[in-house]
Amino acid sequence: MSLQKLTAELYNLFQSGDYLQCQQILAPIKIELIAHDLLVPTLQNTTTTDSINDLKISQRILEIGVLSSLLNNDYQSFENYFGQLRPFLTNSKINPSKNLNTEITKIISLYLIYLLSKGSISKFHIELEYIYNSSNFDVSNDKYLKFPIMLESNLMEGNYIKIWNLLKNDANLPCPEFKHFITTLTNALRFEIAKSIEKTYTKIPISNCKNLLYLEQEISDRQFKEILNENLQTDNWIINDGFIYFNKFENNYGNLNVANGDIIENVLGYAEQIESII
Amino acid sequence: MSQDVEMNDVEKSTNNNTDQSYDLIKDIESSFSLLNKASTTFDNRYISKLFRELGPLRKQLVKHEQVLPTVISEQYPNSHQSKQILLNLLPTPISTTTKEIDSKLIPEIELYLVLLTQVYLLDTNQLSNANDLIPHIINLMKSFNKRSLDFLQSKLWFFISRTKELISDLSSIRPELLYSLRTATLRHDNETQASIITLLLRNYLILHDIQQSINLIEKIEFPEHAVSNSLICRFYYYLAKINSIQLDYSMAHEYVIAAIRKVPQTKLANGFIQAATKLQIVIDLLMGDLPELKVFGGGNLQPYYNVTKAVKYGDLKLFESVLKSYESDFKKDDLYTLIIRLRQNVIKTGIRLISLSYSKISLKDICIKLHLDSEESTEYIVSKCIRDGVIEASINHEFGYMHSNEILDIYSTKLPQSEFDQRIKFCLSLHNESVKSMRYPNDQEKSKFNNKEIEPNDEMELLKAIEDGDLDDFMD
Repeated sequence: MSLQKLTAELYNLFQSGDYLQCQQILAPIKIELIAHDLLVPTLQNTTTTDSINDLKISQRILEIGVLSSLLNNDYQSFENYFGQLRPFLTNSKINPSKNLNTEITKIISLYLIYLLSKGSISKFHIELEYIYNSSNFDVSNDKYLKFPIMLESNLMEGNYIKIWNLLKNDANLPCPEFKHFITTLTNALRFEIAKSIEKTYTKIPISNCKNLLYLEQEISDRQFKEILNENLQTDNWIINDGFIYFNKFENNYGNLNVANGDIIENVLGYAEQIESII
Repeated sequence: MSQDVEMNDVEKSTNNNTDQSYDLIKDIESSFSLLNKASTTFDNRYISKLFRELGPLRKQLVKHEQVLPTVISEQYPNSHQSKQILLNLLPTPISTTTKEIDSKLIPEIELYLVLLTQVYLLDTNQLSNANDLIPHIINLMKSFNKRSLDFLQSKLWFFISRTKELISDLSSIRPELLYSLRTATLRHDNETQASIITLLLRNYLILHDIQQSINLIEKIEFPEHAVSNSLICRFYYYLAKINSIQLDYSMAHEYVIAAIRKVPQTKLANGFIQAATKLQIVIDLLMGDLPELKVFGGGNLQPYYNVTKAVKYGDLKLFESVLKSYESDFKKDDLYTLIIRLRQNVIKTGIRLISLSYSKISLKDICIKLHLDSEESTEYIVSKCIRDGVIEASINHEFGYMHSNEILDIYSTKLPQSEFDQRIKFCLSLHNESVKSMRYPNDQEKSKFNNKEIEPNDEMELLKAIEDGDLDDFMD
């Protein structure tokens, strides 16, 4: 099948929402793209307007790749497609104009959320650095890009309540695709909260703890325990008489006893060095 | 010496100008003897000696624009193909002495002249001409394979990149840079290698392609012990920048400190020191430290001083207003994204101040003092601070107050001792480093002869010692 036909079919499939089929048809399309030297924008193939138009089509194909793998919940291929799409986004010849509230910023924003839900904060900031400084994007006015950035800053601040308010209401989400990350984000959020709780309190009533973790008040103690153990790695939480007690690891400063061995070793080391100087 | 010439320049009339031009021509030609020496002895130190004069020479060349073409027309044999290429880009030479030069032009002199041409074009702002010359230079460099060209090549790449940067055509030069990096690495042209690495990093950072620069750093090995100081400084500065973006503040801090300490103590490095100091201040703040007052002494650091003040007082409102009023400054310095991250530090400092002053305080009061949204969010934020180790405290949920733990006497712990130990080790390694990097000038002909035999051994020992001793020359 020719590239045109395949592409037309891909568009159709994507329109009709058959994302699994999209994934399957994308593989032969990519092979065709490689054959025509259209999968990666280089200095050579961005010289004429024709080839730039061709590359714009490749970009659309990859965008569909990103979105359909996300809608299929295939995160690995989501990341791969985004990696392939990146050279297009940063190429000023293919994307010369400012992107505001477009498909591109939506995809970038989804990727940012994905990084956030995975806990890759450092990668998140690497992406952010580029977006902030590129003249193609206007972060503070883009409804898609604003969202993950707000989430991150609140997460770092510890202002979990704001994130919770954003997540619990679908109307706050800039587009339906974001729903895919809500469960992972909520789990990540609970995990963060749980880690904070165990450092902060010596004991806390179970009902209050449920509140803090945004869990339903109605769930039974057994369910609650299961959630704690499975998702939140709370091995040192002891539940007793309606209270949760936390084993504190008090020794933040290590062993208070003076380690004589270390001192002797250090001093001998200095003596040796000073001798060599003299 | 050069300063004298400049001072005289002001007083003298234009008649003397031609005389000076001739003097300058003689100066340049006499410097060729150094290049000759470098060529025969394979000692790059002669070339670095030549480069020490490059700064003043640049100004002179612009002032006496006919000097360079004259030198070129005298040095190049007429049949040489690049003679016309160079002369076409320059003003007409003074005298057309048509004596044919028989001796072949050695690569060192040829590259040096090309370098001077490129620098001249840059200094006189003829960017498109400079850009046209680049393919020629690159081909020329590829055609030679001589270790004595190492320093010249490193300088040439620097000016090539600079040209490309000025015409903002950064990505097209990348393939050439990468290709030459490979060649230089294989040939152990350390200076060129280091220079290209820093140039590539700069190239990526200007375009904010952080991922690319991380990839590069992972793949390369920077020849730290065999290159000039300024390259090491630049490399550390870029590393600091990249690490800070990746949120690895402690590494970034180490690198930026190393960069600042290694900076050559001349006026020319002021710009670099300022940029590095700005980065250092921001990194310090991000780590939760407050920079010392004395770092704000030099240069225009007012915006950074104000940010520090806001963080120090833990005043969110002040921080927001500082951010707003100096936004363009921060963006110009390319530190805006890092400074936005400070918001959370402002809150943390605020909470730390409260925790220090009160042993017990209700969450509601904290909320009011720090202008936070609600009591609930205050509880989460305080709890996050406790988890991050910003404060030593606990929260009583039922009664809604924060209770500060008693501050441990720091002198009963091992902390001061290990801190002291770190400092002693730093001083000792600094001493050892300086001993190792000492070089003894060969002042007389006689001793020169003797030294030459010893030197390779010395060099070997030095390298070995560097490899053996696991010395950290920077710490904290």
